[in-house]
Amino acid sequence: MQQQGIRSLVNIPLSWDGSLRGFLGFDDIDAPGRWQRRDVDLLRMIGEMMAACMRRLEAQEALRQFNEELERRVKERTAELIVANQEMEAFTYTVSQDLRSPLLVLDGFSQALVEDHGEQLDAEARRYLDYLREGSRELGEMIDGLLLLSRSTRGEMRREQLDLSAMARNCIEDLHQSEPQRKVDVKITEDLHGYGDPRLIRSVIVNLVGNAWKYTSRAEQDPIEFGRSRDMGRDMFYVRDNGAGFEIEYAEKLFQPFQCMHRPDEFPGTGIGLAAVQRIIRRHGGKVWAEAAVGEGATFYFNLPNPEANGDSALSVIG
Amino acid sequence: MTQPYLLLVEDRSKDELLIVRGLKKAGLEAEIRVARDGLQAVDMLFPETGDKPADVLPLLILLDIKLPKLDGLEVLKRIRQHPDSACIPVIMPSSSDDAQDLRNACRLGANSYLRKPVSAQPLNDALSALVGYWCEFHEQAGKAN
Repeated sequence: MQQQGIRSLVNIPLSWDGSLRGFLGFDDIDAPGRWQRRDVDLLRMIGEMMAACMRRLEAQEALRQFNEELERRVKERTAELIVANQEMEAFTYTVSQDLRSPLLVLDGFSQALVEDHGEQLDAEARRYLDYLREGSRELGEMIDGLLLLSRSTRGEMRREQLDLSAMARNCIEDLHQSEPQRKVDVKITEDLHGYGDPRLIRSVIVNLVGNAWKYTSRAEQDPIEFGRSRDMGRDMFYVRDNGAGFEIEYAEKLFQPFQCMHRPDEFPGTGIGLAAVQRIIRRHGGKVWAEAAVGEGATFYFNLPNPEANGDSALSVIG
Repeated sequence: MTQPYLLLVEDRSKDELLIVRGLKKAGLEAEIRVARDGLQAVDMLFPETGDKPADVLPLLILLDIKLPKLDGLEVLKRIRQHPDSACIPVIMPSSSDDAQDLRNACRLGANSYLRKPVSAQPLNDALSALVGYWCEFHEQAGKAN
């Protein structure tokens, strides 16, 4: 120290979090022992301030590292999840495709049997064959549902303006054709448009309108409705039936795959359709929910936000 | 002269039985030749090396979409590429309800699409729809020769 010309020295310890991290040294090269209490107090204060700063820097660095680590882990997990999800979707898709072929053989030959040899079969045999066909049709619907469910999250999505009223009308026409003996009154509001993927949104309409058609079967005098309503400036579409309804506590359960509110012999259903509907609507950034009461029918609401419109639907409220 | 025949490309024997039943019910009595996969179908249609089709081509092709070795859409592409085989009516029965498959089949020039299981009535309808075009085509082709 003498070589450096230091005559006297004050060392202030720098410590935080209960451990000594270093020293802050001040030297005097003019005279020995000139440090006064005041100087030492000031230097100690500077030391404390520096320690506080360094402590903060250290904490910041630790936080940054922690964040980096967290981000890395999130990325890793996300990648793992995406892969797992893709694998599951691919699995569902393949299984459903492969399940379909033997099922179609079952269906095809039971139909051929009825057509070609129906006259040789007695009433009971024909009834059994009908059960067989019914069973294969139900299984077919489940497979279709699974395929739709897997497809609802797979593949690219297009966004275009869609005529939802026309989709609902087509769907009702198909239903009338498949069950011409039923007289169901239908009210469809004209010119309802929404943004979405044509294929996926068609599945949504087919499912919701199809459900309404199915569940309204016990109360044929009441109409099925497809319309639009507005709440808090937000447009939403609805499909209403006046059929069996369900207890509102189960509303959330409805959207889980393979959940069905009714006994299958009461109202047939696969319980996959609504799960697919929810996935599709969510993928479009919208929401789907249900209102219902037992015996008083059910209403399913959904919205389809337009991704290009800013500020939600403020314009449409004025217009 | 070789008898007119139909080509059925189908890998599943039970589906083949159902389609053959449908063809018989529709009153078709022509010989039905079966190819079990896409490659076999191409070998039957284009036996020589190069793109030249066989001298005697089928009157009608029933072509499954999902086939081993070479899928139905690829086979269809080959058929439509050569002028001699480009006009053969092709009906595509498939268990696929994938809109993409349907679009591709249509884009590549399939004349009709049938959803499996192939039952008699829809096959009959598809055949009836093709008959006019079919007769006209052969009459014109006959004149040209």
